[in-house]
Amino acid sequence: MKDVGIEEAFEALAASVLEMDAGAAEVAAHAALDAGATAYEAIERGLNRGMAYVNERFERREYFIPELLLCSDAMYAGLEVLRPHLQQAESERLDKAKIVIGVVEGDTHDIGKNLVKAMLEASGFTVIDLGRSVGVEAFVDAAESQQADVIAMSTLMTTTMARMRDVVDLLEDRGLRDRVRVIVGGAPVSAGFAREIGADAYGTDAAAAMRIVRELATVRV
Amino acid sequence: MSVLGHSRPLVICPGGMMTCSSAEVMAAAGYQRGVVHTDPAVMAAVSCGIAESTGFDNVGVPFCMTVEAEAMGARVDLGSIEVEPLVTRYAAQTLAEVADLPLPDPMIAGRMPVVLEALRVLTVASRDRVVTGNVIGPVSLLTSLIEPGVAYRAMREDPEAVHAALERVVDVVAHFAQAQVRAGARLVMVAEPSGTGDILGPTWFEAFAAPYLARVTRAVLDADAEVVLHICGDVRPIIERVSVIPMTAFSFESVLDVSEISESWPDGRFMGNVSTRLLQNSSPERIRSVVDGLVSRGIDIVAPACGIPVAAPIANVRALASAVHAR
Repeated sequence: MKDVGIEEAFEALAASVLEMDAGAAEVAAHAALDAGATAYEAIERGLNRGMAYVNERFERREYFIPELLLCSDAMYAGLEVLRPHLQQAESERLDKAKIVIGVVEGDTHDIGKNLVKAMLEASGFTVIDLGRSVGVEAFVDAAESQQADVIAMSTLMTTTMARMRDVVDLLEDRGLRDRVRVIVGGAPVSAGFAREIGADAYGTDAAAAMRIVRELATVRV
Repeated sequence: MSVLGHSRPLVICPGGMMTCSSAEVMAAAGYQRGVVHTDPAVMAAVSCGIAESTGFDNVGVPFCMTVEAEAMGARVDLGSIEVEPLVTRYAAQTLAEVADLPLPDPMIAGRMPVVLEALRVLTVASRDRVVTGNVIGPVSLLTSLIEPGVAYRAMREDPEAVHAALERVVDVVAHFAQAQVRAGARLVMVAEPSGTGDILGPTWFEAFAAPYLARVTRAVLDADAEVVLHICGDVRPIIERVSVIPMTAFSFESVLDVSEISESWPDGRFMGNVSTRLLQNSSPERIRSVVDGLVSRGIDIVAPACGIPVAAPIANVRALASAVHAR
C-alpha cells in the first residue's frame, strides 16, 4: 500500500510540473516524503520525470516559452521542499557534474539560459549561474575556481557569437581545455558554428542541452 | 522611392535590430564610441558611410533597439563598436507599472529626437537611397521594459495585465514610427525578436503579438510610408497569422527558404534572407551565388537574414549589393 502511495506521489509531482502548478508541486513533494520516499527518489522519479514530459511537449511544439517558464517554476517549488531532506550522500550523487552557465558579454537575453538551467537542476546537476552579459574571463575564472566540468554559453545576438570562441581560446591558453567541456546555444548559433570555434557541442533548445550535458558529464565524471 | 517595383531588387539593411554593418565597416564610416548613438550628425554620417562602403540601397538609423525602452525609463549601456547598446536596468517591475508609464514625447524623450534629426539629415543628404527608420515590436519593447519572464508567464496567468501593458507600448511604438515618417523615413522596419513563433507559439503569438504588430504597421502605412516586418526564428507555425498583418514586405531568417514561404503566402512580398554565418565565414563568390539563387526563387528585397555579423569581412558585405547590382 505504501508503495502505491509513493508511486502516486511521484506521479502527482510529475503532473504538477507538467501542469505548471507550483502549489500542487509543494503538496506532492510533502506527500512523497510522508509516504516514505527519499528526497532523492522524489526528485529523480517525480520532478525529473515531469521535466521530461515538459521536454516532450516542447519538442512537439505544444509548449512554448511561457509554458516552460511556468513548468520550471513548479519544478523549483517542489525542489525547495525536497532539498533540505536530501542526505549528504544523495546530495553528492545528485551533484553529478558542475556546470557554469551564462549569457555571453553584450547580450542580456537570458530566458533560454534560465530554461537550460532549470532543466539541468531538475536533472540533479549543480549549476553555477553567472547571469547575463558575462565576460570571457569570468566564464573561465569560474570554471577554474569551481572546478566545473562544463561551461554552457548562450547568446541570442549574432554580434556576440564571437565571444564564445574567445572563451574556448582562453580555456586553451590556461591549459583547462581538456578538463572543461563547452556547450553553446542560442538562436543564431548552430552545430557548424560550435565545431568551428572548437566547442564540444551545440544544443538547439533546453531539452537538447540537458541531453548533451548528460552525455558530456557521463564521459567526464 | 519605393522598396518594390524596380528593374532589379533593392539591397536593404535597415539598421535597428538588423545590425547594418560590421566593425570594419563602422570604423571606416566614422564610428565614434557612444556619440554614434547620441549625435544626430554623426549617426547620419555613419549611416551614409555604411551605404557608400557597402552599396546598400538604403540609409538606416538608429543602430540599436534600445531607443524606445530608454525613452520610457530603462537604463541603457551604449556599448562599443563590437557590442550593441543594451538595456542594463528595466524601467518597471510589474506589468501594471508598464501600463502606467508616461507616454514619451518623440520630440524630447531620450534619444528619440536624435533618431528623428538623423532622419531629417539623411532625407537631405541621401536623396538616391531609401531613408529607413526602425522601431522595435511591441512584445520586444515590453520585454525590454520588464524582466521578460514576467511578461511571458503572465500571458498564461494574467493575460489582461499583458494586454494593458501592450496597450501602452503599442502607442509608444506607433507614435515613434509615425514621427520617423514625418522626419523623412520612407521605409520603417518593425522588428519583433522577442515575440516570435519559436518563443510564443501560434496561440500566444496570435493573442499578444499579431494584433499589436498590425497596429504599428498600419500606423506606418497610414502615414504614407512603407513598412517591413521582421520576425526572428522559424515563422512556419505562425505564417497564417503573420500574413494577415498589413505590410509592404516581410523579412525572415535563413532557416526558411523563400520558395517555401511563398507557397503558403502567395501574395506576400519578401525581404531577406542571406545567412548571417555565410556573411561572416564564406567568400564574396559564394555570397553572390546565394543572392542570385534567392532572387531567382522570388526574394523581392535582398537583405541579411538577421543582420551583419560584427566580424564580417567588408568584401563579403559588399558582395551582397554587388551581386544584385550586376544583374
